[in-house]
Amino acid sequence: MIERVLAEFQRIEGVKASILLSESGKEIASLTYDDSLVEPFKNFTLPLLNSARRLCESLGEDLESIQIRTDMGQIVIFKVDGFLLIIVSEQVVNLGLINLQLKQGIEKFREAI
Amino acid sequence: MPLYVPKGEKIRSGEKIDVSELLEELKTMEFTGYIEVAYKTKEGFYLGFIFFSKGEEIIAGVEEVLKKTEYLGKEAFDKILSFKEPIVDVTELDNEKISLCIEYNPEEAFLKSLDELKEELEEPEYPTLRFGIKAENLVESVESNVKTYISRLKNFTGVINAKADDGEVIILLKDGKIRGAAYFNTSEAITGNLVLNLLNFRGKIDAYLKRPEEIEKIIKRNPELEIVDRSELFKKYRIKPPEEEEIESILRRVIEDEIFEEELKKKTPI
Repeated sequence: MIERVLAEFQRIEGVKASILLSESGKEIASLTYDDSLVEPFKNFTLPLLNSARRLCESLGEDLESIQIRTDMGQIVIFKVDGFLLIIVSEQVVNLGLINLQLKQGIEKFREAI
Repeated sequence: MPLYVPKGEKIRSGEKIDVSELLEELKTMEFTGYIEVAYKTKEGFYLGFIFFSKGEEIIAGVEEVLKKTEYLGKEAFDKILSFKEPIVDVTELDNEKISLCIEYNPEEAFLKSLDELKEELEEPEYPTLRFGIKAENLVESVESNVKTYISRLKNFTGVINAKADDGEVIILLKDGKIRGAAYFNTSEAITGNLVLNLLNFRGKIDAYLKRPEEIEKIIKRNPELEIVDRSELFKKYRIKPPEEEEIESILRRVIEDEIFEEELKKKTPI
């Protein structure tokens, strides 16, 4: 159950939404109390990711994640084994805890998918 | 405040089951550990935990992860029971880890009083014999000849500790068979097969009951104690043990050689 793995991210203080997209941008699963937080990512994640990937390639590096700060909070996009994991949070959130959860979550995502 | 959930050994995973039935099952098997419950409704997504000590529910907590609402104790327990066939993982913990859960989790999550719980978990302190063997489950304490006493113990699995003025032995028995042995006195310590020749003495004997796997664990920790069955070894390496006559003839030859050498020395001029 993929949502269960996402629920572990949701338990982290400040996390508002956890979304799992396929590499093509299709929604696989999401958990949030506000569905309007999911919709924009379906359209804007791939172009954003492609630009970031090209930027990294021109630097001779590989893209692993993108972090965006807004006036309302933070968005972190991780590339995980052919999937995209998006965490939308408030401004104050423990990113270390999200990274730790990501390490544990990768294996669980593989099993669940 | 999220519950403290330690890592343990997952024995069941991702099963869609009725929680009350599972609770009955865990009670029967005197389970120590926790179950993790995931359940989705229109109102939200719930992640819940119930901790058990020897089959009894001791701590409960549920979190609705979208709105981050937390329920603890009896309220959480009832909520988990109300879930219709949630997805459940069962994880086993040892006593040490369950004690940590009691120490670190908020008191509101407890299903019974903290003092009661601590009292239940506390194990009585036992003295330790040599080789780290705990002197627990004493079944008999007698004055007898050690060899005779052991020969009478049919099917006994445990530890025999015999003390006399001039020495002490520790014998490990499994199903009445000696698996390990050690002898001590003020000047020496002997372990293994040689100890079997030193059991013919009278002393104060204490017999402690152990499980077969405990005996094997002690042997694994202290391999020098192990009693090696010679006939098994011969069989394993296909060695034919020498006959009495062969041994005698070898000894005779050695003695004769020594005598011959002595005589030779006397005859040889210096």
